[in-house]
Amino acid sequence: MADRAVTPVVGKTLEVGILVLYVALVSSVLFGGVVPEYRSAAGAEIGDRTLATATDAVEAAVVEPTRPGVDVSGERRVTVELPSTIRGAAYEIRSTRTADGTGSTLVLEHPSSAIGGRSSVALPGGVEPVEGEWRSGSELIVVVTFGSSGNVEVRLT
Amino acid sequence: MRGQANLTAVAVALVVLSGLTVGTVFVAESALIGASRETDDSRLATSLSNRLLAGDAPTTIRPGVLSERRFTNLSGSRVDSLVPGVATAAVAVRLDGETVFQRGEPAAGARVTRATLLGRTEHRTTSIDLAELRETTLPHRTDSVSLDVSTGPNTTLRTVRMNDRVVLHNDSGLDGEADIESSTRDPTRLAFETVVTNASSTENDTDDAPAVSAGPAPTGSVVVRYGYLVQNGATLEVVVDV
Repeated sequence: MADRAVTPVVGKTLEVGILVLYVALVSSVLFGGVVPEYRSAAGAEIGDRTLATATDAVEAAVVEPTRPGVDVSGERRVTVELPSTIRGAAYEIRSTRTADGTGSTLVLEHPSSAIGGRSSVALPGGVEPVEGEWRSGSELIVVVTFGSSGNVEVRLT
Repeated sequence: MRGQANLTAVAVALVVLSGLTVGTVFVAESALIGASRETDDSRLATSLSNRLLAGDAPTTIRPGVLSERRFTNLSGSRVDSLVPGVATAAVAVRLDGETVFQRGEPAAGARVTRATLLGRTEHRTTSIDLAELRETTLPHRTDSVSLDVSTGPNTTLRTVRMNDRVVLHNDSGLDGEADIESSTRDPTRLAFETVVTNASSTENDTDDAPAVSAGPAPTGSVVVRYGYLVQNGATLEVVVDV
């Protein structure tokens, strides 16, 4: 008779124990494997979009103010809005020359190995390759200099 | 017995919960795959359409106006030089639905449609008989005019004015061919100031009025040749599939 009173308590304790173990197991599986993987995948998508936005901004800044017969010289500065961090970390966008030396490529560098990318910049013929780099979080500016001899330089600061 | 029954309920609940968790992870996975946006396709398609319509591009007459002659001869090397990233992708460029250039099968790629203008240059030649007319307004706006002057033996063409501005002047007479620049901002009005040399008198016309003297009429002709731009609306479509 005394044993009968113990069984419900043991039963409930067992239930609670099993439930706690189960929650701990599921949490560890999710946060250990599934969630970081999804964060990286989402970060990779955002990285691609950021690089595409940066490339579009550089191409749009270089559009020359053309009027037939008029030479324009001066400097144009365009501020670009990019996210300050991707997946919680700051990143850099660097400009490099293509293999043949005439074109420009923007490279996204990020501490996480899943996030990164390269994109080629389509510039008009007389424009020198892009120089400079951007660090996220600060003010990102494209500086386009139209020289008096007709050459155009593009710099990222 | 009650403890065992509750344990069964707990086990069933845990199985249901696990099933729900796995199902949710699958849904999240498919959502993430569906969210992959193929950013390169749309970026390259936008870049190519911008570069095709840019003022400095070899395919345009001026920004936003495609040259009919040069655009319909679009080649792969021209497309690749405009946007280097497209060299390894399938590309299709269409104007009003007709394919101008295609490489590969870009059906699954990003498409950009732009409303644009297709332009071509038409030429017109008119001849002005100086005996009848010494002023004319060209029916089309143009930015360059070619003149071919041949005056008669008793006439000297001293000055040619365009929109009241002197563009050609020679006191001993203009003869032959000349090219003058005009502007498409205003209609082009040409005025020819002649001097007729009389056998009896050397009466000169004043410089600020065309010759309406009582003497004999000037002889000769001026052939005016000019080119003007004809523009029609068109739709440019660019499809890129990396």
